[in-house]
Amino acid sequence: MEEAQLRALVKKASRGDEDAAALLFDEYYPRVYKYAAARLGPGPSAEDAASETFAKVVRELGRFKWRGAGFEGWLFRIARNVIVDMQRRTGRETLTEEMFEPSETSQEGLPETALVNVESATELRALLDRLPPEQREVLLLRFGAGLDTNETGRAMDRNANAVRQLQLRALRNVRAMLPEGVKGA
Amino acid sequence: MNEHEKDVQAEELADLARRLERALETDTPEARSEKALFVAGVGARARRSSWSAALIPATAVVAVLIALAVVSRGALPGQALYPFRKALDRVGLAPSTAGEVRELLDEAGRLVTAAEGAATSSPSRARALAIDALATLREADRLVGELDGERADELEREIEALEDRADEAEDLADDTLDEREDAREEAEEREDSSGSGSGGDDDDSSGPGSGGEDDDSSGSGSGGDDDNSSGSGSGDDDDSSGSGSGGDDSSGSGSGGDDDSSGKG
Repeated sequence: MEEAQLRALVKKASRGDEDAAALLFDEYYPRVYKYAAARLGPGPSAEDAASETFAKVVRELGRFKWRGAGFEGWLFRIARNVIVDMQRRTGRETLTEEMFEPSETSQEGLPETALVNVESATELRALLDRLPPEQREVLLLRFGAGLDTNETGRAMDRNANAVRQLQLRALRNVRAMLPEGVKGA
Repeated sequence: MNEHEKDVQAEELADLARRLERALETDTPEARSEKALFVAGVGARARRSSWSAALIPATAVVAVLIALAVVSRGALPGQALYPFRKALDRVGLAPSTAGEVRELLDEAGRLVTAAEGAATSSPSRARALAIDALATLREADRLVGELDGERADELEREIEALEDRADEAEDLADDTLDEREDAREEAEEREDSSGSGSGGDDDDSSGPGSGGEDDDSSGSGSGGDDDNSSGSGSGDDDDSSGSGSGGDDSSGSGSGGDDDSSGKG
């Protein structure tokens, strides 16, 4: 969505326009859910996180001021905080080392040095947790939430070029963590 | 790194990105209820904010009206707030003129009653209370001028009755004060005259004068201190000693006529 279009939509919604609110929900709920699912795993937790994020948006929308990161930055910051709170509540700070450890079945057929069966979505997500926060965030927003570089830039308060650079470094780091046998799989 | 290696690496990274995308891919659940809640919440928030946006100026207007009503409560004809008071009066938000007169009359009644009660015991206070009552009645009378009809006549009669009572209380207080003044002056005079007789400084008048009212004092006083009057009178003649000593004062003769006094002398 173009920034001007988004601004108009957010403005209307903040004044109570229900149609604008519905459009915003349709546009961003799936992304927020996917972002939450990328961090928490798909399922009820991610649904709860998305729902709570939008409940907070309702409460805070009247105070929202468009500056810097804009609506996406604001929305995903709320989502991040909700997710972190949920992780604290459930005692799961991040996708943990335990999750990263290969399971009995996943160990089968892997080289001894294999850290992870990277074909497993869960384990690939766990791999992201080893990245520096900003690199992890750019990959979660780009490939989890499905934002394009401009949207990711707005969400992270960076320009699109900076997002591309950050994404490249993040992918190189992930690649470096992969076992040789699966790097080019 | 040569071009080929760069290409390979770029290809590997692109492949990794696709795998990441696949790994993170997930179906978004239907969120109808969440959407309905969100949309309704946004709408309700706006309704609440518009309601509260209207509430603030409304509260301010009410506050100003209340303040004006309070300030204009006692406004009189000719004063800046009087029209406002009349306007509030018309819609029943200001105290009515008749109601205000009633309050003033009640207050004046209390003052008059207190003045009457204190008129003889504490006349100065009674006088002050009566004056206050009269001032309150004058205020009430001014307000009655705004009223018409039978009600105004009734109130005027009540004012007059209270004015009469206040005047009477004031008069009574004045009388009491006058009486007290007279009594005080009389007492002072008495004190003066009795003081000279006993002191023996004054020859003729004081000695016998005091003697006229008080047998003992005149007898002893005059006998002790004054040769002319009591000494000779009492010493020489029982009956006439008084007259003799008090030759120029009737009271002196009275005292002199008393055996006791002469005896003492």
